Amino acid sequence: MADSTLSNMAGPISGTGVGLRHCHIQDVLFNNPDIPWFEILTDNHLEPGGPVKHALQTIRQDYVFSFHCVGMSLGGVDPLEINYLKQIKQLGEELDPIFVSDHLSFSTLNGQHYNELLPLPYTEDSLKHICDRILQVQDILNRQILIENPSSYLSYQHSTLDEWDFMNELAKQADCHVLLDVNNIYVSACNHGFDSNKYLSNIDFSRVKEIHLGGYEDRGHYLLDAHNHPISDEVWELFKTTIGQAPEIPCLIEWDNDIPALEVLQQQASIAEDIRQNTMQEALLESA
Amino acid sequence: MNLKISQQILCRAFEPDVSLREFELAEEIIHMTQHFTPADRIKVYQHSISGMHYRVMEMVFPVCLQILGDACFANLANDYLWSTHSRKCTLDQYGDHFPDWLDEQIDKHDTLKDFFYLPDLARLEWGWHQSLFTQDDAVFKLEDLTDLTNQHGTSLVPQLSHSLFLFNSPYPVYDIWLSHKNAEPKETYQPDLQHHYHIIYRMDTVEIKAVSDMVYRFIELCQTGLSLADMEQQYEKETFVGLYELPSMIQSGWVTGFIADHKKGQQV
Ligand SMILES: [Fe+2]
Repeated sequence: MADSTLSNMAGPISGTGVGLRHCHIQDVLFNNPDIPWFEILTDNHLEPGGPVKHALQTIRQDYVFSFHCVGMSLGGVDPLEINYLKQIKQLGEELDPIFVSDHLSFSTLNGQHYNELLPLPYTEDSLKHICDRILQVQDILNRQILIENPSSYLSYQHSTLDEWDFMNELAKQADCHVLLDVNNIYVSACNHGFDSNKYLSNIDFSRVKEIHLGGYEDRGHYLLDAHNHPISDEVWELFKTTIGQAPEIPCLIEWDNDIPALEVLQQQASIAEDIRQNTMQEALLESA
Repeated sequence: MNLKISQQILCRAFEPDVSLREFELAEEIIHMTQHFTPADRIKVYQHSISGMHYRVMEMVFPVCLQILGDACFANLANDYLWSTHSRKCTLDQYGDHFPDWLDEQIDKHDTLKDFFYLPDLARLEWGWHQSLFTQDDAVFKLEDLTDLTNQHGTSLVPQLSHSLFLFNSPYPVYDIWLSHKNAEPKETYQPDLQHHYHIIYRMDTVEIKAVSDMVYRFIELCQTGLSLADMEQQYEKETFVGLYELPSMIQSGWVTGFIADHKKGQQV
């Protein structure tokens, strides 16, 4: 089994970071904002050179990074893309991320790349399949990875497991970690009609290493995980419950479309940190 | 149902040419709720896939988009997506075949006939985008050129910047590109007999420079890996111009080093 301590020399992270997007790179370079860590979308930075790459290398001197990937197609049936994984590993050697994550989904079939997080049926079959692939990826990258629960818009008639059970089993069998996206839980819960709190009360928090928070868009008969809004009140409520379960887990604000000024993301991060502090204080008072 | 079959059924339903029976098959394997039918659920993914690829196209081909307008560009981007499909798990090379694909569309559709120059404009935009992300080059100092030519003469093989791309067109697409970048509307261009040659390269930012056909030809010869001596033998005129321009090519970062031909592969 891959040992994360072998390849991961980055220091531990805490607090709430933000997803670093192209439009904020100059701001970060010149203003050194008070943000504890950044997550970068790995797939956007696999190019061999150029000004953006240089900027990331400079920023990395002052901030810890985590890598968030979307291209592994972990639930796919096509062979794993070894070249892509090698590129991630190479970038990892350059930027030494604290975490590397991808999603519980597939995105490729018969050599066709949909570049989308497509949902899997939650069956024993697909559980075994994805675990085998995660183990292979971890061997190639020589580190444990984090798997994120996706937001989804369809589920399969032949699924036999709930997503939380699937996530728990997957983390155990593949000896990987979980990136728990609280907004995705809420979006999927609304789209499929399950209870978000039930999800949270069943997830194995000992495997959760990072939390994502983002904003959805209400499309009337469903919620779209558009990452283009502030985090909703309902998701803040769920976050409170999450933090109650695992107060120390680092969080991340994701905003990918109609991206506002970095200060707006920092404000969202400070709301998350306020909730964390309040929840911890309340827990202390209760135990006293 | 095995994993592969369920993925095949679902993905088939995203395709624009899906048959009714195939779509029904996908609906049958998906859970439904009263207000959110399987068909609507499939459409969410279909739109998301199109939207994701559209956003990349919009970023890589911004001037093509300006010229065609949002609706027309969106239609073309969607047709391109579903007729060619993304070939990589990342989107950094997405759009590479768009200029060639546009060539075919312009031949096929009368409504696009006025945009005869568009494939070349797309090629220019693609070159610009490519240049931005290429590998960094070693720096070669102009001062070292004299020593090097004294030592090796014309056995030197010039090495070009990774960021350098050649672009030529019978249409002044660079002027069109420039005017749109400055947000100045321009009349549809009528072709003339002139041909236009450009070098796309990256210094701090990506630059596009108009060059003579001779300079263009010299750079093309450099790409073939010929030594200056071989070039001189076969292409006297181009090599003469190239050698004259060599110092400025080094200063522009187009030529980034030399290999001594008799020491095959050895960077000097
Ligand atoms: Fe997320």
